[in-house]
Amino acid sequence: MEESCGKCTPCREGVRHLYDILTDISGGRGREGDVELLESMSRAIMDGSICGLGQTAPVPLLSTIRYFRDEFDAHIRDKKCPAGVCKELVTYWIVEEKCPGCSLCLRVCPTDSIIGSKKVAHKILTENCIHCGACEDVCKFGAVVHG
Amino acid sequence: MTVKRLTSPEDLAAWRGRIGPPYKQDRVTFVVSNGTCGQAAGSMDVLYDVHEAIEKLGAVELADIRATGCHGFCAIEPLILVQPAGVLYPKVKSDDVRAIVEASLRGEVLEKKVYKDTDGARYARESELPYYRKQNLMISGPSRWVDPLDIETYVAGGGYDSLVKAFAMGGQAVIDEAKAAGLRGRGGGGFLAARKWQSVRDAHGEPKYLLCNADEGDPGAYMDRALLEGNPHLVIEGMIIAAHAIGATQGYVYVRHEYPVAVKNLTAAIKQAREADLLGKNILGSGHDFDINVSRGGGAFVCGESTALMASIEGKPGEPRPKYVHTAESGLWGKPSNLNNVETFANVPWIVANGAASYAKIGTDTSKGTKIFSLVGKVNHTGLIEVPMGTTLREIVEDIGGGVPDGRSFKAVQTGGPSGGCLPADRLDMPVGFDKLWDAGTIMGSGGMIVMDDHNCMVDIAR
Ligand SMILES: Cc1cc2nc3c(=O)[nH]c(=O)nc-3n(C[C@H](O)[C@H](O)[C@H](O)COP(=O)(O)O)c2cc1C
Repeated sequence: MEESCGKCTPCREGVRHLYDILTDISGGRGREGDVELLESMSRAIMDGSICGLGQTAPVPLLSTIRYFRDEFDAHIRDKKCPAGVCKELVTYWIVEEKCPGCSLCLRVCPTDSIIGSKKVAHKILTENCIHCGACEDVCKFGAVVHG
Repeated sequence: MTVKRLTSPEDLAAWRGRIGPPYKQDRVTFVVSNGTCGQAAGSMDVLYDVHEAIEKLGAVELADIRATGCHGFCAIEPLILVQPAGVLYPKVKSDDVRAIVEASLRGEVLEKKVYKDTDGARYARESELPYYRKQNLMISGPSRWVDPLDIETYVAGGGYDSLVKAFAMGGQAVIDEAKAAGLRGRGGGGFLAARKWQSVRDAHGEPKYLLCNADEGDPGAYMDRALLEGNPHLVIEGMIIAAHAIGATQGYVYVRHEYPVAVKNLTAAIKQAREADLLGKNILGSGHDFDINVSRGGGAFVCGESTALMASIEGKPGEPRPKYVHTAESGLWGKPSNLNNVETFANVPWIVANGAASYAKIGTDTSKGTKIFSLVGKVNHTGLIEVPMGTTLREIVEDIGGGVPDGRSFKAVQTGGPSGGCLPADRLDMPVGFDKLWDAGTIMGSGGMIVMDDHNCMVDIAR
């Protein structure tokens, strides 16, 4: 997305706008009609660029819309990322039965959003959680999950 | 190694006779795959260990060592391939080298160190590996025996014979052969090579230039690097044949700046080819002149585009220009110019050697021959694969790639690198080819192939 040489406006500006809209969608700020906008802008970029870079830059986007439209809708309508990748749409929580209260997650949490005392199941406070996933990575018991 | 000047096709044949076959039949050759990927995995240490083991065992007279380019199966490097037996030892550790060398010198196989597949089955011979079963290594195969720094290993396997044949055929006949073969450019666009060659041959203006695109801008694609690193003479021979066909006397290879091993091996190969009179004036006594310069790329993705690439070689900023005037008429320095991709040139000697009819038998109606893909992402066996056009995505992902690891499920495969599209599971039975992929909403590109599993978000991928 960063490779336009800058000569053709549709490629230089258009691709950046596509990126901004996609960033909004993955951040839960997508709106109805965004997908249609992405599609029409993609066509304009492909038609208005002199070299193969602009002419193919929107290919990945158009193909994912064509085959994975439901994932776009999940992000826009339900504010959910089915694969659990888009950090801003993901919530983390601790499965109580699996958590022995080892305190490792609590120690790595950069925003001190995990509470609990030793040998008691911990809890994630969602308000301050920045969805970084550090707690999940460090947990040896598979007690931290996200969705 | 002393290269003799070759003043005729007979000189070349005599030289090959003196060199003998690619591997000596009465000795054991330990081949170590030593491309950029191999070196990153520790192949230099393995080379050293093999040397040491042979010396300690007093076997210098019984064994040869051969450092080659990439063999394709990057996931199992560093590796030792024992020839002529064809026994493969993957992921070699320093401590195992002596035992491998000892067993091989006795003509035995060290069973517990041979390749073990994901299902636990063991395979001693490289040719038996499931990874290679559906591949056709007609272009990348010779990288197994060629030492890129030793022209004799290339000549031993029949190297530069196609050039002799092409000179005898004449330039127009070579173009006709490429046309009948249906050779399409491997750089992404899939243009018919013969059509471009014909326009440059017919164009007015001297000198004519022949350019090789080794910019390989797609992250994740590295077949051009592997070919240049592992078998530079194959690309050089393809270029000389094409130059003869279009009437070019000067060639350039535009190599990506980040490919130091490719630049080194290519430069060494060009030097050796010059010393043998395979490049320069009056090649093989044919009366034809052609030489090649290596030009190092600026690094931007867009420099791989033809007009930007030519601007970059001329020392101007690498920006494309509209092609109202074709580069076949006015390209580099305003002269008729022909640009092809590394892999396109690598196909040329095979076509000349085996004929268009044999070539056209491989592949589909509109996409002939093989294509080298770099298979990466969420698949068990990553590496470079060479398959006939028309092989299905399922065969590539499941049979060759060994499926998705960690019990996850396949979600999509992105073909053609970052500007390519993603295809879902219900398209897996699609045969690969330029037109089929385009119809499905994606591109062949330069042959990158990234597999994704259910833990990949498609909105995120599109971003
Ligand atoms: C932005 C852009 C980048 C490109 N990068 C490459 C590249 O890295 N390597 C390549 O061989 N072709 C690349 N191409 C295609 C070349 O312009 C050209 O079509 C190709 O080298 C011709 O060779 P072929 O006919 O043998 O495929 C690129 C095209 C565009 C538009």
